[in-house]
Amino acid sequence: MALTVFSPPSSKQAMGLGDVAAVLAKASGGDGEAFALLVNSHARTAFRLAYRLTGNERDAEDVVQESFIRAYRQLSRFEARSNFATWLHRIVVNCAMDSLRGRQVRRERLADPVEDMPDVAASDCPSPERLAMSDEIRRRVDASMAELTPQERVAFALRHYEGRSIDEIGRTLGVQTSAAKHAVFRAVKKIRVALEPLRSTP
Amino acid sequence: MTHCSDDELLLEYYGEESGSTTHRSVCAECTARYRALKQMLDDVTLEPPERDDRYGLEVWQAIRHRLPARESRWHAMLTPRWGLAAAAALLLAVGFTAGRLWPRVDPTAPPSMALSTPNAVAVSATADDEARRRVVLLTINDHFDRSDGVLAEVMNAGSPRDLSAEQQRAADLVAASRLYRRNAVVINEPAMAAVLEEVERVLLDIVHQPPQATAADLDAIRRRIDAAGLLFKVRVMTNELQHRLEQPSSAPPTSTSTIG
Repeated sequence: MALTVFSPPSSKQAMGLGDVAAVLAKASGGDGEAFALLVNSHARTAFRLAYRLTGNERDAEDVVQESFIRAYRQLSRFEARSNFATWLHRIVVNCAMDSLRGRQVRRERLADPVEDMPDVAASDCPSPERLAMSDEIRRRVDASMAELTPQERVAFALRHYEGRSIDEIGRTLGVQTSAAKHAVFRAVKKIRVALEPLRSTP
Repeated sequence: MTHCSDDELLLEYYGEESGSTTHRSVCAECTARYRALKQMLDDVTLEPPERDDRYGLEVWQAIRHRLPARESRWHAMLTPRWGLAAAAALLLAVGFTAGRLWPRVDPTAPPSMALSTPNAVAVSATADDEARRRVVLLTINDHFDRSDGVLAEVMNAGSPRDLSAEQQRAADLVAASRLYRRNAVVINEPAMAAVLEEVERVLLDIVHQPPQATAADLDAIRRRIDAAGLLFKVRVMTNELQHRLEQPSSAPPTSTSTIG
């Protein structure tokens, strides 16, 4: 097992000691030092997740910070037998949902169809000479992701990028498995529609 | 024959329960649709930008002043709530004693000499307390920075390996650390003194290892560094000190924020 201080995948590995529970107990008791160690151990994992859920660095940074603040406030509710990484994962997802909802509200208020996202219409007929196909795919995926509801987007990201099962996604989002499943279905359909023209491009 | 739905193919792609696999084994059309779906989804990737090993520190620095009132031990101590008068009284009392016992800085010596020679740092409660305080903080900052280097080397060392170079650097740091620790106490920086002591103990561990450290030796030290979150604490301290040293006055601010 690597013992690098800043390797985050699991709390045990990241902290490199068997007493994650002790650190958590201290943090729950208001020990800022212990909480700082938890932040340090989990920040990079949280960022990767937040980025995949929100799709941009600025929002991901905000989500990470908000998640740790929320975790600190709720630490007294954390059950010692639970896994901190799993608990934090759920908080990051919830914060990302809030961020995406906020983004959606701003878009609706401004009647801006796609905030911070590339203009797909301008590149309906991409020139292979000017654009690499992967760039175009990325642009179209970004644009279609921006059109997803927060729930569709998060469900898709958790399933597609994070490899979470539909059951887990349902539990994380606090919805029925069938609702999580259909959120993924709808997301893929929209992405597929956005990518379809590329498939017919010679 | 009933063909697979898009949703069934999608579930199969994601390894979820789906009845499509059996059907596809006998249906070329559905297999072609599955391949098209797979090709499309395989192209949908998103690799987050990398964050380096200081990212945890950045996040912590950004949020720590936004956390509710529960106080950190060593971070709360970085911003002591003692009144200035009490702090000044302490400085006066301890500084008077220290000033009598410890050699003074040679005023003609260049700053770099003062930084690199622990004995050159004397603390007294005279009119130039603030300047002396800054010198102490500078030397401790430099010490933390060099300790970070040794600890990081050990953490990243391939094992087993010759540790003699790190041991020499660690021994130098230990020798200096004891004075820095006393100075930290004198200038009312107990948190800093506590971290210096933690670092010192680990540095001593490194010094006392056999020069040809085995994998088990290295592993034991790494565990100790890791368990204490020592590199992180050192980096928080360095960050905090740099911030304070950039201020016109190095006195502990009532609210510090280096990032965000």
